[in-house]
Amino acid sequence: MITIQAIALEDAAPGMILADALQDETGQMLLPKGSELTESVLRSLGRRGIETLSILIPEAVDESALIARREAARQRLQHLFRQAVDPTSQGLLRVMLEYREEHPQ
Amino acid sequence: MKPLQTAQVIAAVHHLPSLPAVVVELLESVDREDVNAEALADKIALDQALAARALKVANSPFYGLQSKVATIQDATVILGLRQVRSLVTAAAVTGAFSFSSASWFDPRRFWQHCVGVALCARALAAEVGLSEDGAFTAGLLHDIGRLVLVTCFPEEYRQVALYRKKHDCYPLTAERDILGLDHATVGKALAERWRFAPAIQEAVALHHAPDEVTGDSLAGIVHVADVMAHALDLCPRDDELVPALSSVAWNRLGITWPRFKELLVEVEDQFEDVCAALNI
Repeated sequence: MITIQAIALEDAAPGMILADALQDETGQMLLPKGSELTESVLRSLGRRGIETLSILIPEAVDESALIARREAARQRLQHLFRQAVDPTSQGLLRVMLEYREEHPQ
Repeated sequence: MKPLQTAQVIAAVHHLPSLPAVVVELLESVDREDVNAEALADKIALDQALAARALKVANSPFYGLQSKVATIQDATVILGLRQVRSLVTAAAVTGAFSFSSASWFDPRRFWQHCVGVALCARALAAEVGLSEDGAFTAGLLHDIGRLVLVTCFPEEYRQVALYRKKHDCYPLTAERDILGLDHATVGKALAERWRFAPAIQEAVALHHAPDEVTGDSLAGIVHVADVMAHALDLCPRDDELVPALSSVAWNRLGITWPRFKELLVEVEDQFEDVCAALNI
């Protein structure tokens, strides 16, 4: 998941990626969409009076949150099937556990 | 608590308001092919409240129509008679039971589960080549007996709910232990009274006993659909229980597990849109 965020020039750092093409107030293209910011680019944008930038923010993948969510889904399914202990129902439970791994709720 | 007598329940069923005549006709003809679409559409259109509710469903995002349909006749042409039949039935039956007064009973949750089962039943029926429309309606109505019990015997049914909580048992067990009969028996009485098509009557009566039916029965489909909807946890509650899956009913369908998982995706995708369309 990637989100787009508008940030002030002073908060921009080298390595960030532009979400949109950047133009000055006369409409002249300064940088195309997808450009990576560098120290020198940031200095030159400051000189040209740019105040805000729209950049791409990749969402951090939080491994531990992911594991916790899977564990919660597994426990919920085992709770739901607590009375359905016959072999056919337990076969379905195994399928539902796989399904929830692939399709979190 | 004194067990309920079957005669008492039948008398209560007879005191329930009757369904609009056109809905009775729809439920009677659900598994018949020889229905005159135009005549039926004209009859639905005569019941203005029902027609308005059905058109709202037809124009909901679920059907994704390019332009809005303004009349039932148009809806029949664009969506087809089968679709209109099941959406009018859904609009009618979810509206018909708005008179339940027990404060602890949540009719929205009840209908949401029924819609979940209806969608599962339709997906399963499509796989095995049974009537999708009939399966949808049977799924929607499968627990109708529970609604009769809550409506006509609210105090008795509250005892069922308390017993179920205390013993963490299936609602069916709690009903039998407290009332001496269950929602399938009561549903059967209502299904006969309201003259549902025989296949729907059977599904209402036997969705908890699918081993008793033979061959391509909607009762078997609805049984598996009920288990499927509970396993998907579509209406989560703390004391939720997945019913035991009958190996007979499951094996009869002959659906593989990988294909079954694809059906789960399909149902999860549709569920919220259909509930929103039916305003439940």
